[in-house]
Amino acid sequence: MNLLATSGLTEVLLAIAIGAIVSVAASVAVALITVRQRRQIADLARASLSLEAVKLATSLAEGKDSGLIHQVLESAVADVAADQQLSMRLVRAALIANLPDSPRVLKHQTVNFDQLPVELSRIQNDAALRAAESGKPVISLQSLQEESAAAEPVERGQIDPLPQWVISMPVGQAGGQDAWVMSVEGLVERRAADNLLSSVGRLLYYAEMLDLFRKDRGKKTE
Amino acid sequence: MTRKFDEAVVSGTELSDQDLEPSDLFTHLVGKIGPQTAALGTFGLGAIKELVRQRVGLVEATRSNKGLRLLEGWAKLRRG
Repeated sequence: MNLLATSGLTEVLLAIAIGAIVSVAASVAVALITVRQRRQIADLARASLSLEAVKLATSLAEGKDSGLIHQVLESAVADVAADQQLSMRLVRAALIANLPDSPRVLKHQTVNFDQLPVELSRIQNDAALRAAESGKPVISLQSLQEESAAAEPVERGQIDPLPQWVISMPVGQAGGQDAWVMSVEGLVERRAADNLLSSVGRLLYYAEMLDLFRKDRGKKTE
Repeated sequence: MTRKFDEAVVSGTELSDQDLEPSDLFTHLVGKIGPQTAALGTFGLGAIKELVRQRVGLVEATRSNKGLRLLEGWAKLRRG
């Protein structure tokens, strides 16, 4: 009997010991994976790209690989429209490149512009420059005071083509060479800056995704 | 004829935790096009979420109750 009891106790102790070892090993593995992921993120954030590589990425965005980037822009517009409870046609977006020296809209990278905005509007241009320089989003609201004095009358039944508000979202870090800015505009309905913060939060993800594309392409081309 | 616009730079601290949650549409997009790109293949939704929080200087220091979150600067995080 004693022998049987001792044998049973040994088995239980062995099982507990194995369980403890497996548990420790799993914890160590999870910790290592987390550390590795954090290091990868830090590396990616630090990754510096040559100007040529970024320019090539820009040209890719205008070429055959433009579909993926356009999908991101379309989804960003849909997201902001849903967030602001606006019809999709009242929100539009353009990807602006070649900042700060010669800003221009990337070919094929616009959503809901009836015609390709070859020339940037002053508000797009100024806000994009500020966003690229600061590395932070910029919200621009049409001034209430100037509206009656300077606005062109809009014909009845037509949508006012000038935006009521613009969110300029930098893609990448402040002061980077050949920066991109995602410019998202709302038509017709006014919004206060506070009401647009949730849309800024949503757009940050799309900007980060675009930046990942650029870095990925930059790495491939170096 | 032009109209005047008022501009404001948005700092990270103006954004609430709720503002910084990735939307369902974005989550769907990552699932849809993630496998097509090496960048998103390596960095899934969780990593993009962390990048965004780092970018705006707001990082969850803990998963526990509200009030236990730590604000850290982007630069400080990158040094780590």
